[in-house]
Amino acid sequence: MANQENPQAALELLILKTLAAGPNHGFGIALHIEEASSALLRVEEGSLYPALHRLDKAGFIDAEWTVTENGRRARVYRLTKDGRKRLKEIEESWTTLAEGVKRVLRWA
Amino acid sequence: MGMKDWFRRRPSDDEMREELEAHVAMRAEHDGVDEATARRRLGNTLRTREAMRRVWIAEWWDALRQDAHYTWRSWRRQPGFALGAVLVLALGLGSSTALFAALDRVLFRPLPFADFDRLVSVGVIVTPPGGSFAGRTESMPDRDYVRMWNTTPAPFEAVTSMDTWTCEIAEEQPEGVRCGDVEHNFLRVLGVRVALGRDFAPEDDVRAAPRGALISHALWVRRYGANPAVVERTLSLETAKGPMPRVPIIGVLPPEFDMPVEAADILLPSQLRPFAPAPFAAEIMPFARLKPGVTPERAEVMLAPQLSQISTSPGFRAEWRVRSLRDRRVGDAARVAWLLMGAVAVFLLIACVNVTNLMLARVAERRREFALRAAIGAGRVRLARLALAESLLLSLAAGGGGLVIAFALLRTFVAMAPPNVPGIADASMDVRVFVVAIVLVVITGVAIGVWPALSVLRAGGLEGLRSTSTASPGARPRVRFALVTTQIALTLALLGGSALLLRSLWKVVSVPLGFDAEHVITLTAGLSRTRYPTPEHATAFFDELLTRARATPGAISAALSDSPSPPRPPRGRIAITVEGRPIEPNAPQVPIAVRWVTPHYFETFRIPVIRGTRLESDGTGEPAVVLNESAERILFAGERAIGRRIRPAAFGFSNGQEVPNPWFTVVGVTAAVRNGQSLTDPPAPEVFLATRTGGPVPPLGLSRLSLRTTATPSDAVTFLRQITADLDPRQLVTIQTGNELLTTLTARPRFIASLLTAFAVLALLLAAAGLYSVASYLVLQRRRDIGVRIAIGASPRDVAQQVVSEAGRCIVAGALLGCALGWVGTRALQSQLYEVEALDPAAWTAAVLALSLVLLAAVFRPARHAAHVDPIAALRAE
Repeated sequence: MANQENPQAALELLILKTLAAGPNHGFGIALHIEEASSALLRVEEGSLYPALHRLDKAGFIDAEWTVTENGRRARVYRLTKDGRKRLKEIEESWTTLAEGVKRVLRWA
Repeated sequence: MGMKDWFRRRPSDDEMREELEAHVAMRAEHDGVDEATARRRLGNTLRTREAMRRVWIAEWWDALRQDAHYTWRSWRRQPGFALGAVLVLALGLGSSTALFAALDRVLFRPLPFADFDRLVSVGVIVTPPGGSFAGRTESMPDRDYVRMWNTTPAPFEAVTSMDTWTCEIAEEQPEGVRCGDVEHNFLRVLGVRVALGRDFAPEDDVRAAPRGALISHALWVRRYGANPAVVERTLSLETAKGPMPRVPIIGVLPPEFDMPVEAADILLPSQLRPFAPAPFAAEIMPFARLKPGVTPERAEVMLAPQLSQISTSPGFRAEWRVRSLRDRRVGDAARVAWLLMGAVAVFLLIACVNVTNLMLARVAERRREFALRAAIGAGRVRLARLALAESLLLSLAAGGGGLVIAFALLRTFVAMAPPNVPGIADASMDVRVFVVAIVLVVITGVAIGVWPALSVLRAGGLEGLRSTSTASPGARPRVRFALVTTQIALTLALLGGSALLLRSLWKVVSVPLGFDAEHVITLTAGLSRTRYPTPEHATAFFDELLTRARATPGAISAALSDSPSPPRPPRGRIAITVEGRPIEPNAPQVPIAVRWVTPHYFETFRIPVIRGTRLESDGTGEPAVVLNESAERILFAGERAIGRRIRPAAFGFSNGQEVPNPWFTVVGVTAAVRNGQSLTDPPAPEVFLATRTGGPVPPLGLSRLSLRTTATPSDAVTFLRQITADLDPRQLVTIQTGNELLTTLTARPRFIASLLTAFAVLALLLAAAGLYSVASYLVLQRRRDIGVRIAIGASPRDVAQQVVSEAGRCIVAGALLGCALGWVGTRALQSQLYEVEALDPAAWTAAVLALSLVLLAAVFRPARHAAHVDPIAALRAE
């Protein structure tokens, strides 16, 4: 995938991975990424939503308005079949890339 | 990726805002901070929302550009297809657009009056005993109007009335114009305000009150340079009855104002009340505004009890007619307009079917390409969308070409159109027309794209990849055959219609006219009342003109008249009294057409006189008159007319006093001469009053000279121009040959017939092209089968026959369907046909024959191809 250097690709991966655990809304996704990375990664909230919409439009995730347990209306995203496939692809290539980078760093 | 995103729902702006607000609220709650802090963390929400919006828009646009680019490339590979399809559609779209532009004012455009759909024309139609006056419109005798409708009748909110007449502005630059008499409430009933000055007030509209005049915007600009100081200037008007006292101009009508019917440059109060009885009633045209919820039909019923109060002669039948103002203005033209619209719609439909067929052929050719693309990941929906995009682009390109065609066609339509289509002279390609053109382009684009797109959806499967060029004809050829059949059916309906119209046109052109206008040249001169102030001056001018015309080379006979040449109706219609028969008090007489002529008129036009004599030349005896047969019948009811005397109602004025007409002795009776509004109207009663030196003169003055000559028309025109210029170099004349006049009179059937024939011929060519393409495709697809059949001994003849018979089935099915369509559709045509039945067998046989011959010719080449298939090559191609 040519656009792996693109930070968007990383954000995409994190979003898809988060949703693989179950449907969630934008804030939930941001929170999950922060918590799971032990606050190492902090999501740029301004680019989270355009990224979500891009994935929605591409058909990797579906969006639906639901009411959360706090009684708040939220746009909740869910992974589609295409999205699951996509996640697998970029997860693989990302791990390969990360492995490669790690090895290069070790040699340097 | 994202090939399906065309169909994903775009969230609304509100949804995007709400989503971000929800985020802010959750963040604030989670972090235990206020919303402002949480919002700051989200960054610039405006920009974020913009970025979200762009996600949806940008790619949509990109996809469209991609589709357009791809389509363009595929067109460049096959320019023949693209050019053909664009041309066919452009013809369809162009002719529809042009026809809409031409007929918009007849059918659709709102009238320039407030709430115009409640405005109606009201009146009675009077039918003489045992007959009808073709083309009569509703009107009311003025005295009945004043007497009966002093209070507004129940169905109406308000009533008003008008009448128009010819007048002349008798000032330094004399100008002939139309004047209108209207009631003071006329403009208010129509919902129109004056642009300048004031409207009429009730006190202007009282008999003998000082009159004021409203002038049209055009006259104001033309004559007064749009000077606002025109108000309170005065006008000198000259009427047929003599000069009128000067009238002050009190106001100017708005630029968009248009009289409900007829035209007028100057409006004057009609001053009907209090009513002063005159010996004969004048007919006026009432208009009314219906009360809300009352229909014209209902109004007729509500008025019915009043019918007995209308004064009619014994034996005459009267009936109310209430109809919408649009109907009154447009009349019969609406039917013609709908007919032509229907024809052009059918033509556009045929063009669409044709292009759909071409596109399906392309889909079939590219089946493997599509299957391959589908296999390597292009969604079928994406491919179908591509097909739809292609059709929209085709239609758009055709729309551009269509506009060019429409501009040219509209000019042709306007030039060709019969004179009685209202508003056609003003027709132009304006915004309304462009909007309609755009709507047509979109509808066409979708219409031609839906089927190919569906067929791509089906072709996208893997079976498309597996199948080879020898695949047995599947669903698509059948669809294509069905489309061609439809096309043939529609074409036959058009062909049948045009055959009927052509036959009818032939009958109209060969109608017995009762005169011979060939080699007759007519010169018309409207003499100015300023330079020819008295009838004597005018008579002197025309007498001299007549003498000189008779001396031109080749002249056989010449005569003068006050009216247009036959078959045009005379200028005047007037009630006529028969000597020795008492006048019914309060009963209007039958108005009869009156034509003033000099001796030799009958020779000049070769009008046969069947009883009595022609007008004696230079006779100085008592005033003489010649009747036509139907006038004799109406006036004398079978009694002998020759030698009896009749008197036209007084219409001569001298010093403001009515001069009674003298008694005219009937000296002859002519055969029927056509004198209606159209050539096909049966001859109406008419009397020819003799004008002789020293005798009674026509009240409207002589205006025409007719010359029968052996000179060529162009020579004769030159001679006539020369003698007029010698006599009075300032006098303008128009010169028309008899044949030119007949041509303008047949303009309407000619127009309809030529338009429909043009559509039919084009449709036939398209049908031939469609059938050719389907048959060729079929032969190509069955090459292997055909090869096998030839290999096992079928003769080329058999093979060719099979192709022809298959196409023949298409033709027969199409022809049958077309006859059925025609059987229903041509009912609408009947009113435009003269002495031809809509189901005329000869016309339909001709149409079917023409259709079959052309279509069979189209199948010839594919059939020959089939016959020449080389079995070995066909089998090896596998």
